[in-house]
Amino acid sequence: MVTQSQLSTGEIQTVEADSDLDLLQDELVNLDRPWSVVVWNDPINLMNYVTWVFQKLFGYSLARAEKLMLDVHTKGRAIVSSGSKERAEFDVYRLHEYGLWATLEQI
Amino acid sequence: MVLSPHELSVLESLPEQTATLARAGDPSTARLFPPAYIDDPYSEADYITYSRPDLLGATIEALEVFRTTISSDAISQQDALSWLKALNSIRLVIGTKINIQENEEVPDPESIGQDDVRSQGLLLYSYLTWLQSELLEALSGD
Repeated sequence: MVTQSQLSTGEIQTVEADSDLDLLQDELVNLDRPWSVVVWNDPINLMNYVTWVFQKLFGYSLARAEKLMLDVHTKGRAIVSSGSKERAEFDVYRLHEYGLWATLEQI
Repeated sequence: MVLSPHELSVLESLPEQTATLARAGDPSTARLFPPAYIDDPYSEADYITYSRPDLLGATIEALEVFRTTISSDAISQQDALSWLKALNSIRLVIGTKINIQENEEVPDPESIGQDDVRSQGLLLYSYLTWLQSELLEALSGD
C-alpha cells in the first residue's frame, strides 16, 4: 500500500527499487536451478519400446535404460534426464516424437 | 519381415486414417501430442506454438513412410525407425479409442461378434503390438 506522504517524499522509489532487486535475484536463482525431464507410465507404450527409446535418445546402457523403464512402470514416473530449460524442453520434444508421455519440471 | 496379403489389407488403410485424424486434431490423437508442462499454462502455450507444427509434421511423415514402404520386401534402417514410430502412433490412437488398460486379455477371434466393436479393436491393437515387438526385436538385434 502506497501512502500519499510516501509518494511526495520519494520514499516509495527506494522501496520499489529494493523489491525489484529482490525479484531479479529470485529470478536469477531460479534460472540456475536445473530442469528435470519426467516420463510417465501409460498402458500403451511397450516396456521394451520405452527401454529402446531411452537407449536411442540418451545413449544409456541397456541396464540403465531398463532400470528407468521399470521405475516408470512401477512408480508411475521417472526422471530420465536433467539440465537447462532449453535442453530439457528439447529432450521432452524428442520423447514426444516417439510417443512417450514426457513433461519437464524445475527441480 | 514380409507381411502376408491379409496383413497388408488390414494395415494399408491405417496410416492414412491416423494422419487424417491427427491433422483434424481429433480427440483420439491427444496422446500423440502430450503436454510438456503440467502446471505452467504460459510455458505450455509457448511449447504448443513452437513445437506442435514440427511434431505433427514428423508424425505424419513417419506414417507416410510406413504407408509407402508397407509392401516392400526389405526396408532401410531409417525406414524401420519410421515404421516403429508409425506403429506406435497408430497404437496410441487405437488404444485411446478403445480405452486400453494395463494387462488386457486378447479376445479369442472366433468368439467376437460382428457388433463387438471394442473386441475387434482390441484384436487389431494386439496384432499391432505384436508387429511392433517383432520390429523392435529386429532393430535391437543389429
